[in-house]
Amino acid sequence: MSLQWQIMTAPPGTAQVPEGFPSVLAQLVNTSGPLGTFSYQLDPDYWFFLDVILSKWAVPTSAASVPRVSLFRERGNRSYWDPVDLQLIGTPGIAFTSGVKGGRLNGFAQLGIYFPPGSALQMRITGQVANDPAYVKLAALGRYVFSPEGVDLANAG
Amino acid sequence: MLSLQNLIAGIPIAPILENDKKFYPGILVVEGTAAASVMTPVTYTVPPKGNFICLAFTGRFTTLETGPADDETCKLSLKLRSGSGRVYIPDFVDLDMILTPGRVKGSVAAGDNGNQLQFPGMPFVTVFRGGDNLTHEVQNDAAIANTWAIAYHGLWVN
Repeated sequence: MSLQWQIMTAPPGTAQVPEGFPSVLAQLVNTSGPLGTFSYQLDPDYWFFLDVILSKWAVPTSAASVPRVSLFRERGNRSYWDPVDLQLIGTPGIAFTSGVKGGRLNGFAQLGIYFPPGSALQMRITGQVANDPAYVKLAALGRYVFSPEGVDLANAG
Repeated sequence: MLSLQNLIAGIPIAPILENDKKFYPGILVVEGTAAASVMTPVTYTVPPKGNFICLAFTGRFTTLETGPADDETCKLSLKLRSGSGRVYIPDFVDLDMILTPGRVKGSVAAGDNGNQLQFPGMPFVTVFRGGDNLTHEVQNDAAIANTWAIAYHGLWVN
């Protein structure tokens, strides 16, 4: 049941909206060369729950070239992903150089990864040598919250 | 032929009617024209008739460049904050990353057709309080004006 239906059908006085507020964090990652890093220093006052990765990239040489991304959390040196094609996890995933029309919607990667206050969200970009992306833009849609339920604060990170 | 019973099957009518005076669906629409090569702020005041639980947003934008020509490349980016101190989008985010498909075909140039809007759009759960301001700072990197609009989908709470 969607959140809208949960709210509209909740018994009187029991409807709840999730704590915190959404935020979109964005960076231009890579202007040239095969490697780049998205490193975003998160707000020190909140936990951050990462829900969705948004991405787009330029493809100067081949419509088939797709950069790969891997996701890290600096705190605890946790690695979440092997390098994965942005097309597989990003949305809208636009390739927008001349002759390559974007606009497809791949659906959202439902990530559900949490980051402690003040930690860094990092994503590393790998372009294949023959298909080096001219640049990549990444954005992370998530939610800042004060005190997430169900998270072991003492051991997190 | 679908009967009324078929159409409403599975919808919990009774509790919706019970809550109808407190919750009902709504859409807030903000739109603007971003002048060439500058950032143009647009402030939207949430109607003071209650609080609005935002659930998601959709939007559209044009991709005109000098000429005016539509080269289908997004020129607009957005920052978003509320007057009550919430910074929802602290960095400029290209509109085609958060409003895609959403592109509107220009009226002049040869470009692909605009893309269909997708519902329910980007999940964006938060509360906009009645009377609060939502400031949209829209940067336009084109040498000609472009237009945009965002619809916030959610529920009014009284």
